[in-house]
Amino acid sequence: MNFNFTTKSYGKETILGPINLTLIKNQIIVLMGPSGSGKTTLLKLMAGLETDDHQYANKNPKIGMMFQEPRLLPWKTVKENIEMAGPSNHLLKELNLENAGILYPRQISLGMARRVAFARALASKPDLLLLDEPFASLDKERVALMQSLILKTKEKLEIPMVITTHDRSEAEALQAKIYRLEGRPASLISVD
Amino acid sequence: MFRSFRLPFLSTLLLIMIWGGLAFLSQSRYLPSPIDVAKAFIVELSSGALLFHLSATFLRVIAAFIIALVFGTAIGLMLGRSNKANQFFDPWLIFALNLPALVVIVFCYLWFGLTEVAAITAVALNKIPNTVITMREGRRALDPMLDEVATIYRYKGWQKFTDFTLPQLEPYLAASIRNGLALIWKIVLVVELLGRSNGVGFQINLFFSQFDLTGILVYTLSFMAIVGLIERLVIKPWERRARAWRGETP
Repeated sequence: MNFNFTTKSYGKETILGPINLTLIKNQIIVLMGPSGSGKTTLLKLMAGLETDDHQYANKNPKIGMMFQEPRLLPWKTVKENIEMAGPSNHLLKELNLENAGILYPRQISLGMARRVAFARALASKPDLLLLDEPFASLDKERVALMQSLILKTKEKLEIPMVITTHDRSEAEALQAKIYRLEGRPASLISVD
Repeated sequence: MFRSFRLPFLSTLLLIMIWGGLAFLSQSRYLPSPIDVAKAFIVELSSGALLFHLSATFLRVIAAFIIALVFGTAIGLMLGRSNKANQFFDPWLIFALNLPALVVIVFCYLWFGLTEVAAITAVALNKIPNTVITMREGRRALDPMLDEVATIYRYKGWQKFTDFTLPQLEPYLAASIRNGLALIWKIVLVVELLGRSNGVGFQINLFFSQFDLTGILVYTLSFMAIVGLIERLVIKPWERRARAWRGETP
């Protein structure tokens, strides 16, 4: 799976320089960089939510995306939120959400909401999984839980995943290929 | 259930007692007592006149209400979505909002004659601008973050509208429905008073010419009761169901 973007600008400011990224099956890629470095923008380009400066939008692979905020639909229960993307039953069990199925998003914690958003991304049976800051604002225990879920998913589905974070230790725990977004316009620098 | 009705019931009872007390003190034909009104109500009901005129008004209210809601919502969503369309049509909207209801009614009767179509069109035209404003704000308040979720999971067209847009518009729709019902039935009375030969407005005009305030109160209170029942039995349960996820009781 190959992504080839030209620059990406907002107004007069060019956020991202040309990006060429090749993903292979069963691979986790971590994009690191401080806030505002363009990580989320790059994920949105890959997801087809934004176009690059040449109006190229990725439309090919079936994407599952977990946003930085869980972005659950507040009027749907946990189960319904997952099912809007695909069947939920095995996912509720695997992600330890069985007892939360009938709850509304306002009734669950942030950590649980992240797991629901993760389950929703998986329910769509994606060819590529994009996770934007999946560990942000979680305590150590929840970060470890999320990391183990990501690794289990990698083993089971064997699909490529792209994850953004600004914490090096979180990235290393995922045995991932790490890139840094550096400069303005930002370019991808391999860390290994 | 009973607890939720107890306070409104006591409050209504107090209002009727104050009215009865004032009527007793004044002993005037211009302030009939609740008992006089109740007696006249039974007479009108048993003759069939009350139900006939109430149903004529009710049908006009419902027809105008549906037309205003459908057109007002469609236009409001369009203006909320497109900044250019909103800028272009804003002067039209301000003009329509400030146009007196009476003028719209007179014009409709002169253009279309003293017909049912003219009456319902006049009422709907008076309500549409308010619905447009409310629904335009609703469209502007849609969460763009959820729009991205819809795109990722390939929700489009009608499915996107029912699953993503409509639940977010629900508070605006509820406000529009509630205000609409209250406004429309008052305008319907004016329309009936000016150019129809049946309905509550027509009857009020008739009783007015006879200085019969008891008759006016019978018809007015009866229709107010119907509007209240619609609010209690239709709008509130719908709102309660639609807002269950918020954990609110309307």
